[in-house]
Amino acid sequence: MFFGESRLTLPVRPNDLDALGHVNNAVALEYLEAARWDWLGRQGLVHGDRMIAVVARTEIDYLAEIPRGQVEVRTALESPTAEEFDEDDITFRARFRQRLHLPEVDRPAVDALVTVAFLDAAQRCLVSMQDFLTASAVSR
Amino acid sequence: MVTPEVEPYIRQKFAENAGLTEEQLFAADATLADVIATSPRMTNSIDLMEAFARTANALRKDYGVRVRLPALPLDTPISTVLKTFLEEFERQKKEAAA
Repeated sequence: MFFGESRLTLPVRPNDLDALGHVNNAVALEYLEAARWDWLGRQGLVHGDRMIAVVARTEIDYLAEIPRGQVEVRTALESPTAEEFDEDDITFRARFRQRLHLPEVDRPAVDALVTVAFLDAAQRCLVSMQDFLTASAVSR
Repeated sequence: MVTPEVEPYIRQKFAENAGLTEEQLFAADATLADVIATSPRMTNSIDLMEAFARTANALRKDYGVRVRLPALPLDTPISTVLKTFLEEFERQKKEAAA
């Protein structure tokens, strides 16, 4: 498992802006999702049809406007931590700390904690993170 | 043969993981829906499942028995959950010894 922070730079598209000329709050959630897909890819994980990850909760603070240009999404697995994670355990949720940064700005424009759970799409029931990782690992 | 110290162990671990006292959980025989509503650490049933998982993980580490609970409806009283936990523990212990 990779417990470090991943960074993904995305362009702000003209249609991401609202009437005030800054990124709409709902679009920020799309940036976060794109960064989680990127994080999965860096793990060598490919989302299958059967075991899927779903967002169960998002806590989000909008701290600064995001204008046209570029935005960097920083994503780290906050829970389970490297110390907590055990392949023999059962864990039903993962929490990602995700922050949107403007170029060259230390303070984030958006700070979010996203809780993800794992489902068996055929059975429509919760599965563990360990089951999800086993089903999704193609090149670990 | 029931392992006598396991019941208080499960009570204590689950209360810790739920962020509640054993009294809050077991005195009024709360339902799982009550537990989610009362716990400062739970928002939905995923958090509840995580609390059960952490209790089961602790059991595996301290007693060497792997327990997986079946899916339980949210109106299940906590006393029934505890009973199910203990039955699964004893069943898995027997299977591991066989």
